[in-house]
Amino acid sequence: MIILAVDYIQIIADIVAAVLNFLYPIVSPMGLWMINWMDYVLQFFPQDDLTIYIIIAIVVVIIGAIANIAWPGNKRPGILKKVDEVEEKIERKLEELDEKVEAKVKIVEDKVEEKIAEIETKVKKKAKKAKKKAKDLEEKADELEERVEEIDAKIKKKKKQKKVKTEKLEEKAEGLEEDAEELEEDAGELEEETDALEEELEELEEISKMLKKN
Amino acid sequence: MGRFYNTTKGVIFMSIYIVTTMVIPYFTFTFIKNMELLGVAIVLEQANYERIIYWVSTFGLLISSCAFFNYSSPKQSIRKGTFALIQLILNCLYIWSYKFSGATEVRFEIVLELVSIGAITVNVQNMVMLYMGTYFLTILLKGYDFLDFIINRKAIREKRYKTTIGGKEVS
Repeated sequence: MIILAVDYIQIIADIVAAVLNFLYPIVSPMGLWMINWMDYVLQFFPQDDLTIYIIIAIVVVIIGAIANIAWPGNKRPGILKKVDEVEEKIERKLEELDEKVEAKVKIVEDKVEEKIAEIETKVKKKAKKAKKKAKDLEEKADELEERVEEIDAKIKKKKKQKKVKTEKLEEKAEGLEEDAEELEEDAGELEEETDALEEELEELEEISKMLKKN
Repeated sequence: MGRFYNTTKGVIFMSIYIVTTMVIPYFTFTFIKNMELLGVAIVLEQANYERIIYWVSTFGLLISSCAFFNYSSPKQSIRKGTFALIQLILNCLYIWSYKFSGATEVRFEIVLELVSIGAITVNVQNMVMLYMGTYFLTILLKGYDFLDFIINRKAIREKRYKTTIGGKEVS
């Protein structure tokens, strides 16, 4: 089967039509939006005066020619060179400032280190003294503890002695109480004996009186 | 890439755009205006013809001037991006001006022996809408380029101003 030139055209047309049909629902809304804003914009374009467009075209071409001759883009523009110079100056000054700051920082650091060393030595001395004092205090504390222990022991001894003494005294008191009771009993007996003797005396006196009378 | 190169490039592209947007459409519509097919005269209406030629000339001028600015500008420069975008929008307006001037719905009268025997109306509005959709996508792309040129301006400039000797960069 021989494919004629017309057939080729038909095939190409079919392919193009298929592509267009596929793209139509996607691209057509965009196209519609474009048409809307363009309809609006075209209202402001002069519709019967070609000179305005000619003037605009000439102005654009002249400006384009001047701009692209003056700044072709292969060299850095003069303004940018100045900007670079200013930036370089700023960088230099910044570097100088950095150096100054670093030098000052070093000086301050040295001073700080010296002071730190001094403080450290002072602190060490004070620490030594404090250690010595602490040792002394510990010794004193030990001594005091020993003394306290001794005193405790003495107190305990005295307490024991007191206890013994009180026990003895209590025993003695008990003995005395018993003696007192015995004495009281003896006194009672003596009283009774004295009463009996007094009665005997009275009887004797009465007897004697009677005898006298007689 | 110097002044002469930029200007020449701009002039060449301006000429191309003058030919494609003004000269060819002018001759095409002038040819169509009094076309004769198989002995039958197909006449484009005079009012339509004048409107089409007017809008073709106006937007052709603007597009060509923008093309000069665009193509004579250095690569990846903001001015190139700006004028490329303007040129694209003008292109849209140019194409739409065909519809606006009546070119998308052209009425041809068929005249046989000085007697009008009928008319043909060619409506290409849908095709223009499809074309506009693709133009919209192109505008988005150009807009992205424009933003890219602005954002990466410093890097582009540094790359452009780097001097090379024997293919090697010299800082």
